[in-house]
Amino acid sequence: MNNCPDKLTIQAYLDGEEVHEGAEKHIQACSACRKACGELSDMIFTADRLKVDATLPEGFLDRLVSKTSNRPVPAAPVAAIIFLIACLSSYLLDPGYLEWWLTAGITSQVGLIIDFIVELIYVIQTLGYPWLIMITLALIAIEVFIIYKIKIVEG
Amino acid sequence: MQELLQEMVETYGDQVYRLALRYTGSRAQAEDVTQETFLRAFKNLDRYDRSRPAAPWLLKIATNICRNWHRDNREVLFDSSYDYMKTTNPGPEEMYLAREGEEELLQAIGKLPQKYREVLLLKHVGELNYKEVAETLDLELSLVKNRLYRGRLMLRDLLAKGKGGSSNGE
Repeated sequence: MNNCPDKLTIQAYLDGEEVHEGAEKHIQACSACRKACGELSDMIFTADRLKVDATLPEGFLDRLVSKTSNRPVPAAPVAAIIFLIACLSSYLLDPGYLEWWLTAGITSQVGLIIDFIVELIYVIQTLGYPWLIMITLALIAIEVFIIYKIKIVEG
Repeated sequence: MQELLQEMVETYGDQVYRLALRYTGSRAQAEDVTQETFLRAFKNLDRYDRSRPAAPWLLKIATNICRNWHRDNREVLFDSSYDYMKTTNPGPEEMYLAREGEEELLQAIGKLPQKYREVLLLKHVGELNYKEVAETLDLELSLVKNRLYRGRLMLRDLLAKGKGGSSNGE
């Protein structure tokens, strides 16, 4: 009994770790150690409940690769610039628009909006340069068209 | 570089994701943590010693991210959308019991001191051996054995208390 290995050694033995050969033989032969093994096995069994049977969500690798691939433009600064341009445009059109943005609580969602634009940029960039240029030009055209229309309506 | 990252995701992605899932209790958060882990790994690939297994290195990054996550989200979340519930298609009673058991487990993990929680999760969820856990957490091997023993004991007692049973732990 006095020669019994300590609980940490018995635990290591149960965990399949390398233990001293003498200790291993002793554990197998000693009734007190076998009793300790039973108690420790219960603890290990309980802790095994932590195991999760889950796998990475579908498309994870594609999303990750799109974030690590060489990008023509850094998405976050560009998203911030787009957002600032949108704010500035609305202010230049009429300071009232920006005031409306503030009262409508849109600016409290800045993080969300920028995150959305960043994701949009990631997606657009996976499409390649021609698409990137076309979408940028389309956005500029839409912006100019809206400004033009508003100016006409307002006289 | 991209190929190495892809290989790492294919080999260790599930392992990192499961660890993150246990830490956060939420599939969405776990995906974010996993993504952040691989993005950081990608940025530091030049520092990675390719002659050594990648699991401890990746799980070290994931553990650091989870530590920060846990600091900012002290209340452990519970998301009922764990995969096993979807795949085993249990009945309402089984579903209820599974959810209750899962919630109980998450609460117990949340109550464990960080030093024990980390060792337990790396051993039981990350499926690392003692040496790899020691390497991941920069600990002595003897300390890993000790924390693992005490952590298991605490977890058993916390779960027993949760069931209204008696506690005979430390």
